[in-house]
Amino acid sequence: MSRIVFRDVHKRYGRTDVLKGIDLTIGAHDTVAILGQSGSGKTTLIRCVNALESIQAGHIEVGDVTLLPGRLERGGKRLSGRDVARYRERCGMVFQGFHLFPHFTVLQNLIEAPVGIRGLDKEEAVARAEGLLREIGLLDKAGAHPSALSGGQQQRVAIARALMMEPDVLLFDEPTSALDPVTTVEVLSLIRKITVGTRTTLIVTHEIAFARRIASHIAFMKDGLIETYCPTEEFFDSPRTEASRAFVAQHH
Amino acid sequence: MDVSRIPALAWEYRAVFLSGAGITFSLTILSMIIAAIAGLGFCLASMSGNRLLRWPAIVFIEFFRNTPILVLVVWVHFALPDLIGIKFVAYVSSVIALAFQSTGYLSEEYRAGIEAIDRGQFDAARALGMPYAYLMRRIVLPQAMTKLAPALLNQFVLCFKSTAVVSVIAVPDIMYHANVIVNETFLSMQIYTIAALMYFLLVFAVSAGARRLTDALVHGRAHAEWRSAMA
Repeated sequence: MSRIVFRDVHKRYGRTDVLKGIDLTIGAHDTVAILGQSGSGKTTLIRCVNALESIQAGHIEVGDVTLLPGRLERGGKRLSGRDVARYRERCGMVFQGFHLFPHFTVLQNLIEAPVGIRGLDKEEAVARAEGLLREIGLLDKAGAHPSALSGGQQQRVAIARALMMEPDVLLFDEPTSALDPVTTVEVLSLIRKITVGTRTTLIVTHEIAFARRIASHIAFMKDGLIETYCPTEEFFDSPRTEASRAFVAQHH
Repeated sequence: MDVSRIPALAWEYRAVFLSGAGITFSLTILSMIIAAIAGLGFCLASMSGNRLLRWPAIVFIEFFRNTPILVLVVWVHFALPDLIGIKFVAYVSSVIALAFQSTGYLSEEYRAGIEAIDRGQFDAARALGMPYAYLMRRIVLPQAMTKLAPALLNQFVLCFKSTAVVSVIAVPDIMYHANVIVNETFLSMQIYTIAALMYFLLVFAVSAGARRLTDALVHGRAHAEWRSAMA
């Protein structure tokens, strides 16, 4: 499992500075909930971890890989395009919009990457996928297309799809923001089931109560910086800064 | 003017007109096969991050799109040989010119089809570790095909209509034969009317077939999804 370290990370979109100097150290096995107002840079932060976005300054260490402006390195050696893709396999990501592949069935969504990229034997992949689907209670939907599933079901499939690659790091980008309150609960309990104490997990969420329950640490962001980073209970029981105090008060 | 002679004349010259139609079809099919592939290549090049790929691709695409087909045919047949030192027979020049034109149009259609795919699909595919070529082949292009199929079939029809200009470099298509017969018989009204009717009927048939095919493709996928939803 991978430790994640951000050192003075800057990220700009065009002329807008979104990350203005992020310093953060996340231990392997930690589950960090990233909280903050919209526009504080939370989504951008996690998208930098799996190199979906590139940074302009600073660096991010994820296990033995270092993400630098314009390139990735391992042991001082620059990673090729292929190796970058292989690095991304180690980070599973779940998106607010689910983004299942609509032209594939649920089963095909799950086995596509393991079979097509990792070269896993198809039967083995199918067995593993069916096992996961059974665990999440969606085995009967294996042959369905995503359009036949509800939002909550699609998101659970998306989570299973990410898990199929057995990632070291799990990244959740507001996984329940597009869901209604009832389906939100389904998805959150699945997340809790799979993350507690296993992989290094970063979860951007507005579900504060949920964050409080599953996160080991809270990273509170404001205006492109980490305003507060501390263990969960400390954040909620004795917030140290004014902004975090205001935030905690707002969500009680 | 004697329109009653038209059916008899059409029957009399049916052999040459049919052979002309054959040429028209073969030109269209060959050019479209080349353009379908080259169009994708130029499209991807034009979207590439590499400037050395992107700029030449954009220049070629604009040249092919903005030059009238008649001019392209004449240019390929008379000017290009001097530039690259290879001379083409008229048929080959026609295929090249028609392929160029369709490539220009199709590459923009491919681009529109690809850009219509939700960004999230790219994100999800990349996040799973898919390299660019793989995700294009397995995730993006298959989805783009639904939007592209009508565009491809449309371009087929357009290409078919464009073939008429190859008569100017003496490729024996329908128009060429019409010109030859008119030279012999001076029956310009009847012969050109037959030629026009032939084009009309052929294009109409191809268009109708294309529309049926598009409906089947679009409906077919929707039907598969509906069926799986009902299961």
